[in-house]
Amino acid sequence: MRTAEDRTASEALAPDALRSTAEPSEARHARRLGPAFWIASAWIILVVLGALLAGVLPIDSPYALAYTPLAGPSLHHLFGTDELGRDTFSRVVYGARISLEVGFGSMVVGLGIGGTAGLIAGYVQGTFDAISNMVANLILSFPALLLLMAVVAFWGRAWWQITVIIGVIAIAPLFRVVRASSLSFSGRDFVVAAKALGATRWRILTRELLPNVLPAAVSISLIGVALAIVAEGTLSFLGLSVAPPTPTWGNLIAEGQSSIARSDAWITFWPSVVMFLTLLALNVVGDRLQHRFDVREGRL
Amino acid sequence: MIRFVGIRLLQFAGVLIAVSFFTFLLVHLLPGNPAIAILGPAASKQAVQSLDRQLGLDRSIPAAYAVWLGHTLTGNLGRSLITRQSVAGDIARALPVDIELLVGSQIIALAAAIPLAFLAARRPGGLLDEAASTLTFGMLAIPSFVVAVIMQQVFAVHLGLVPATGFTPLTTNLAGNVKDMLLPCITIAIGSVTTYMRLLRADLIGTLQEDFITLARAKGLSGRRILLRHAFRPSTSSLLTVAGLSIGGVISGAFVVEYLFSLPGVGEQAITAINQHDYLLLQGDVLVFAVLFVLANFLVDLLYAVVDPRVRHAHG
Repeated sequence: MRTAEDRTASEALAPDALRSTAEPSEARHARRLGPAFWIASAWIILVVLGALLAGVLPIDSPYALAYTPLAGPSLHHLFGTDELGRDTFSRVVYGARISLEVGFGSMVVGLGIGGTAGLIAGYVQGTFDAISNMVANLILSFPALLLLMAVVAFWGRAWWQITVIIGVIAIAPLFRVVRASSLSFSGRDFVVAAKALGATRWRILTRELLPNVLPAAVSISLIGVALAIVAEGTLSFLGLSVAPPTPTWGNLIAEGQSSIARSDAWITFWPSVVMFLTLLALNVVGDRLQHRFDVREGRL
Repeated sequence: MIRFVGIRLLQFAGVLIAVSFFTFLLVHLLPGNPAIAILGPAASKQAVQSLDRQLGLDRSIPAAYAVWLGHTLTGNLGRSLITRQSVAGDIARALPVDIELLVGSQIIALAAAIPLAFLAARRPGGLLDEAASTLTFGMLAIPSFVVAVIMQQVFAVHLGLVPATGFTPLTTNLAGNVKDMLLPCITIAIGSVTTYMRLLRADLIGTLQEDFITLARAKGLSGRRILLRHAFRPSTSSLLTVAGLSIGGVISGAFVVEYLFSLPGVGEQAITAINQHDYLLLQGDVLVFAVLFVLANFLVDLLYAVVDPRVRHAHG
């Protein structure tokens, strides 16, 4: 039932590989990561460090109600304050915690389960492949956000529960991508050679296939991190994620949105901008890495 | 063709059963005894027992599912735990809003994406093409709820062109309905436009390198005629598939838009149900959206085969 995805999974690797053999100069160009990649990486590292070290950094508590409400940006409050007089900059920095925990955590779950299953399914094929394909199809037969909302509503809205659910949803697409590339590598000469030399299945999977499949899988999961952050943000925005007063980017945007009528756009503006830059950076890094690894494959 | 439809129908039925079983199981995710979780610790023993019976918690899971499925197929989704109204009736009142959002947003998205893709495909790598692909990449990084907030602020609050919130039913006042729905539909459409455009552009560029296009060009046909008559048709099938898959995106968009613009659709109903712990209403809403999604993909699959003969022959 899923023709389009079948194609995107297998074609994800193909077009650039073709292009690189046809035009070597362009291939060399694609191999370079470029300045955009480094700027984007620096931003991601900055956001991650900010979230990790928020408690140690000389910034206000995100819960302190100590300041003039709805103040504009100033030297003391870079992003201004919200309607309860809390420092918006500090709330944005702390808000990154939930987004990053959910974003990276869910990809660890998704890649751990989906990636492992995909690696094995692509190599051994047969019954295991058929069953895991069916499971992936079933997960995909539910609209993702609906599934997320429904399970959160019935099960619970702690950050780890949201992480697990997004991770489970991510299993399906990651499984497909990894399975497709594992399948294509399985037929390559070096795998056949290893098999002829009497390598065990375990050895072929971990020593031959895994190192080849992993780079592309990781770069795709970086784009997955961005999607997971959007999913958590949407949930937060609708008031269905981690409960206030814990700041999250989604609930900050929602809070500001309800007070914009009083011409205070800052509260929505800052978390939106930080979120936009982070998502853009994750997409750029994931995209560049994916191109780089595809080219390497095509040049072999 | 008949065999193709038959296989697809079987798959469709299988997915429907899986989706409905999962929706049915949701109640069992509630921590502890679901009936007590729903009614609260102060509930009387009688009330708990009666809810147990209603939810089928006093039976084994397969037996309870069979009973639940029977009720569901006859249109009985139980009663709301808050308002005591019939869940099926509540959903029937809310669903037209979602259908309108779905149809409206997809028409707008296609109307914008098709001309843009043609313009971009005419000169791949040209200024317009580069601008469009940069914009597409940027749009990936803007969550739909941020788009919705910006749209509402700019067009409804600051410019005052349309109302910021509220809903007029189609049957009451056509002009009022269009005014209320235009901004929500555009907001959802923005999410689909970039996907459609990127796909159609890539497809068109691919098709334009085929031999039959070279032939048409050699025969001296005009560039516009080649684009419209020769290159577009083969691309419609992939556009269709993506349109089917993007229904999922439209459903998430519907949640955001209905919440923000206060439209009385199924998405808004589900959010209210979550906040009020009205689990049976929520279960009904989830079921309706899930079935809508599966149905849309099934129909797209059939249409796909109609448009592209290679599909129906490849599958027998």
